[in-house]
Amino acid sequence: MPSPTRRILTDPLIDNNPITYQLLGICSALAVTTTLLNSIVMCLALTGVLVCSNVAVSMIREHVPSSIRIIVQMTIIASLVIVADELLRAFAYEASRKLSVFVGLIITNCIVLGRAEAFASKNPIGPSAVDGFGNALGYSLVLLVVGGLRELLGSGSLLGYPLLPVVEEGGWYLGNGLMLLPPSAFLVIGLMIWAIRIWKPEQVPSAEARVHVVHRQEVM
Amino acid sequence: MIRRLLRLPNDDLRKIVFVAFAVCLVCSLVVSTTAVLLEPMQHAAEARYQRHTVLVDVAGLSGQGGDVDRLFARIEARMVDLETDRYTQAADPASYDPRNPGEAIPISADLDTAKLGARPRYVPVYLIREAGVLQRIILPVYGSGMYDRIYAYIALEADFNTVAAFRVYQHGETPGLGGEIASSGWLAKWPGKRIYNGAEMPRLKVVKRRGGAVGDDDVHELDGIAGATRTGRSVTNLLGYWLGPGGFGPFLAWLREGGVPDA
Repeated sequence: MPSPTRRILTDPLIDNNPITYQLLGICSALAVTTTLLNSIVMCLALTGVLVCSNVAVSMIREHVPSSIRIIVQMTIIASLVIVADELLRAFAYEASRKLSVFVGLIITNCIVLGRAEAFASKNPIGPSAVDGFGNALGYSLVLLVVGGLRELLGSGSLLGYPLLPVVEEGGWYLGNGLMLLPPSAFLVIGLMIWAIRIWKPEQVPSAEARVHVVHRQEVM
Repeated sequence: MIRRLLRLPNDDLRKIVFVAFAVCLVCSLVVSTTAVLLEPMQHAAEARYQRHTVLVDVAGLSGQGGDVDRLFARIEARMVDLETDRYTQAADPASYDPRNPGEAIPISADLDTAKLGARPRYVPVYLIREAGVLQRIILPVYGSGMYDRIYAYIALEADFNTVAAFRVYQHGETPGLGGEIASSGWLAKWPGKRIYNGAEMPRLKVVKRRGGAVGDDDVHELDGIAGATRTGRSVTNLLGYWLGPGGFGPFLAWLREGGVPDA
């Protein structure tokens, strides 16, 4: 694989990860990561949508008038999301019930529109597909870690197989109820971002981009 | 013609209209084709989920492990004729679809608490036996909710009065508020509640508890969900209809009086 293509694929995994670096797509990362299985299904759905939307947007990029380009991209993305939702309802019915509205909400996932606008609308089909797949992998990486941790610590199991025997079934592990609630995904993602930024200090925002306390006198 | 349009500059009005139209056309074709092609599979998946997974769970069999299909085979389905309030052979339980229940009989307005308008003549019930002795009977119930119909199963103990399990398997209530009627936490409050209190009319109600005080009529009252008063009322109403004189009421009364469950 030529190195620019490889770069497009591997860059979004850690260095430019859509969730931990760009902080996009957090909504679904909070909502669907209570179990590993839900995370996997969500990742598959997003991967399909992102790759296809990047390909479609890239395919017609020369002919899309810039005045309606966002609405064209949204139409393509929305259609693909409906297709993904229909496929899930036909082939993974129970998982699609658990994910309920969040599959539909892929439409509003900033990662998809972000890649269409920032990459696919300016690049040929091949690299766009790779870019979509790379970003989907970056998203999936975070979702799988968060989903796995939450299911393990919250329910003592992974993919439904009990690993830590829980107290309710006569074991020793007292499930952490917080892990089953959406705020715990914030905690896990926050800890992940912290760890990644210790490992790669270049991801820490520059001084002027950082939130800082403004004193009253300064404002006046 | 298309080629000429594509050659136009991108900011030409004709091209803008053409691109918008073409994108919409292609997208709608893709969406409608998938929807039509996948519909039978979705129906099958939904029916399988509803019949198997939900019924096995309501039957109290899911704890026994094993394959859902094998557990489902232990549930005996029978049709009840709501005109005669007895078992019937006139219809096949496997063909029953609550959304398209066949012959529709209008419900008189004073009985129609579930706002259904009409009901089918033949409705299935599901019997669960342990070594030949009846353990539970499961009744399908449904009625109007806030935005969409609420579909559920209610399982009764062999006294045909005590609730063994209740499970909502489809609804369109607000997620997080009324939608909590499908959550395991709320459904866990149902077992042990009683439906009747001597009379023919069901007493079981979803109520609003004030200050958490346990009422005098605890076995007939179920703590509602905060923020979902209307959904709670819908559940009360749909049970009121299906377990009352217009629904399974007379059939259950016959069973309680010793009507042979096997006849």
